[in-house]
Amino acid sequence: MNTIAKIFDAFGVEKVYAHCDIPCGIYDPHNAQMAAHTVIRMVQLIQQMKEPSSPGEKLKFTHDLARYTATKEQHAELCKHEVRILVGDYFKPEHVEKHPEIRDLTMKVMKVASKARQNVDMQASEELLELANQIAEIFWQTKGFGTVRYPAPYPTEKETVYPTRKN
Amino acid sequence: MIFLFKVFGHSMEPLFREGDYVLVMRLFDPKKGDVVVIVKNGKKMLKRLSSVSRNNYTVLSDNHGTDSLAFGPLNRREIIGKVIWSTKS
Repeated sequence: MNTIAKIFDAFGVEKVYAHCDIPCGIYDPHNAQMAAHTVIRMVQLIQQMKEPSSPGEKLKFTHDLARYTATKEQHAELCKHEVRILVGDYFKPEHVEKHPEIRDLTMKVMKVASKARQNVDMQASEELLELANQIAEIFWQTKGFGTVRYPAPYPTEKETVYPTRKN
Repeated sequence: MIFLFKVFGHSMEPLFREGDYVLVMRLFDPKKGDVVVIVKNGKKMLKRLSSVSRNNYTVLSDNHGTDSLAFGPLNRREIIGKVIWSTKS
């Protein structure tokens, strides 16, 4: 440590954060995509619920609706969280320069995920997955991978972006 | 006004490393490419100005880090000052 730095240290100078998480280098859009799938699945389950016709059925109806709604809330927020990590911690300025749509996609994820939380809205839920897919395509391109879309092997069966061999 | 800060973190490496000190001057015209100290959500952070447009300032990290891509553009009051001098730890 140089002399000047030692002197400053003695005075307990305030910190300014050039903060970076670890950095671990482990990033993957898959979590955001799966979270969006979960939101879609919860909307499907809610829409499939039948009106209760007995007190016993009413209890189960209320219980199940509460669980589906809570899960939808958690995973819409998880999708936002995962996108924030990719955008805040992974994508560099040169990625944004090459793919300026990253900014717009990020804003849309935040807005659409909120809409999916606030409503039982299949259109918003599917749009959330599509936005997560588009971010995934950009992510894999920055890694030098190709991408392919095909229906996911889940009850949602929605088209999902997956990486292919490295170019 | 002039402020002295100690860098904590890695998002502005290799130019600024953890433990470095930066001297920051408040009175300046922010320009694209300037390294600045900002305050966002009560936390002071070291970033680089990537674009300036009226009262909208976008900052990015030189390395991986939280910046305008995550928290959006800033206004002038959120920029504490420009780094005018630094010393290595």
